[in-house]
Amino acid sequence: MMILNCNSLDVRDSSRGILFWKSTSQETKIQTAAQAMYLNLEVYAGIRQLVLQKIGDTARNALADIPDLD
Amino acid sequence: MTNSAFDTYIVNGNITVFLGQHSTAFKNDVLNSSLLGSLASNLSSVAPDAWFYSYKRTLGSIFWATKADASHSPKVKSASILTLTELTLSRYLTTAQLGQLADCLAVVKNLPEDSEALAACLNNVQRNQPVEQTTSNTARLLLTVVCENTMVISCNITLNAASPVDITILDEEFPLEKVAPQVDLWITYLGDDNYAGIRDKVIEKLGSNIKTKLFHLNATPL
Repeated sequence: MMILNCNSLDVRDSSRGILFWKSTSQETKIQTAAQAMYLNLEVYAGIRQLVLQKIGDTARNALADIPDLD
Repeated sequence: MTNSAFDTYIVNGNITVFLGQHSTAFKNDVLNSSLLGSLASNLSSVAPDAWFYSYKRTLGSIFWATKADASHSPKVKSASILTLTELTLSRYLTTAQLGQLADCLAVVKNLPEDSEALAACLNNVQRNQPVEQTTSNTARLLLTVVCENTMVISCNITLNAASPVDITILDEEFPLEKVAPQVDLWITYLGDDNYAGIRDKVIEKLGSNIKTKLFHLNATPL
């Protein structure tokens, strides 16, 4: 079983002063989510090579996009 | 085959340190791909933020797998590359490893004045200066630390000093301008199996740069 987990932390801290008065405010927002998942190995076995080929192609294309460095 | 315990390289003016034992093949893969990312990013961008973004994107596409990615701006009035590195990496490295890192930076700083490696490093550190200026208050350096467990820590540091910077910024503190220094941390693992499929292409792409932009310093602890 895999658990996909995503967390978002947003912290805001503001401070302002007017003459001799100073006001501050702080705010924190936390959002979290999790999802349990299974990889169907039998099904994945049928496409494993295609996935690896696709990943390799992406890298080769990225290399080809880099201008000549010499 | 393994090499000695710690090793320092200048990669297109940036510093790469291998801590512990690593195979020669692994070192070459890290050095070559890092050189590729650096050269490609120099072509596309000079601005420090954009440069590191481009570097990460390039290496991410050739199997540097991200484990963590973070940035912070420590509120300090003076800093060196070493102090900012220690502040950032103390969570990941032991005191002894941080000490080795300090030794490595000292080795680079004390290279002979006519050394090509020193010139490359200084040129890179001062790269953000306007073309017509011969000095710069802004320093940027990518320090890559490769740990024995093959974790690669890329630490991109940018700081604005109150006076022109030189190579002593590596381990001597300079007073800073009001703008806080920026430290970007990128922790990765090189996916060896996948990388093997593009290794030759990377070397081909680099061409003669491997001989001219990659310097091996035979660093030993001071």
